[in-house]
Amino acid sequence: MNERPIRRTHDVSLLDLVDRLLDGGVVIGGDITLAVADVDLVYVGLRALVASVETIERELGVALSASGPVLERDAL
Amino acid sequence: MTPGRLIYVYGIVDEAPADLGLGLEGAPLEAVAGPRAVAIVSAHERAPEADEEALWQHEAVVERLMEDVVVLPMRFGATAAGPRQMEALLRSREEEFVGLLEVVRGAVELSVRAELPVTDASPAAARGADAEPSGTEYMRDRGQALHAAERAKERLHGPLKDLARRSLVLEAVGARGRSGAFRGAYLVDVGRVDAFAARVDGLARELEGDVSCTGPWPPYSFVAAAER
Repeated sequence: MNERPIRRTHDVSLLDLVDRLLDGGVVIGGDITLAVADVDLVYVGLRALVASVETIERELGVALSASGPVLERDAL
Repeated sequence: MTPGRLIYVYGIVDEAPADLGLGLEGAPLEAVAGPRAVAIVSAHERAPEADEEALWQHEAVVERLMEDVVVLPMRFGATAAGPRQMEALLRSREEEFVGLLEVVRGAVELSVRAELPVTDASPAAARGADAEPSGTEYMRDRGQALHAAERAKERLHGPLKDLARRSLVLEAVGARGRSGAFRGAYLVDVGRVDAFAARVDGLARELEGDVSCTGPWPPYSFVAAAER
């Protein structure tokens, strides 16, 4: 196990985290799943957060993260 | 494990590590053993709150497990009504889980996102910005631009794919109108992680794009089952 992250700027990592934990992974389906409340809203909310940082960077031309994520506001 | 409490599932492992530690909300981690795979869980009165901190805690548990054993990471929010139902799931999906454990054994997931410049060598550029294209010219220009974007992405993905055990080109979120947007996931042998990172850096320079690579992640993108 390589324990050294290659590169994890906060915003890009959060985007990767959200995409993986809420859209990837093993799914338990069927009767035994008790849904965690509002997961979909959390997904949308976190993506909106990351997207807003990128929007500020693009529109104001400032760098808030070392490497900007690839979200757009209109994608939400 | 107290009866009547739901169990939150972090991952399915080939064998339980000796020291499990704590999970969401400080709950102690426990192992629920099936015939050939083990679920790592914690018991809760109600489903844990889903927020950014909880996502990172889930991730931290899975990353700790990855240091010692082979893990199939669960999607956030996977819960079962109790250990008996979890055992039943481990039995009913035994072949799937055992097969996936072998797929990811000795490998980690790396994420690559990129914004690649798409060289515009089309007649549109030659005409200049003021020249209004005809409908036919517009469609032809658009087609050429898309081809150029696909070529740029393949120049990034191709050499990375060759270093990976498995790879996926995923939809780049918010890519509408940005034909150079790329997102890929790569299942890479642990011993090749440094070589992969070096290749990403080299390709980023060569393609003059904005390329970010994060990881190593648990293999979330490579444990998809039919139910996804």
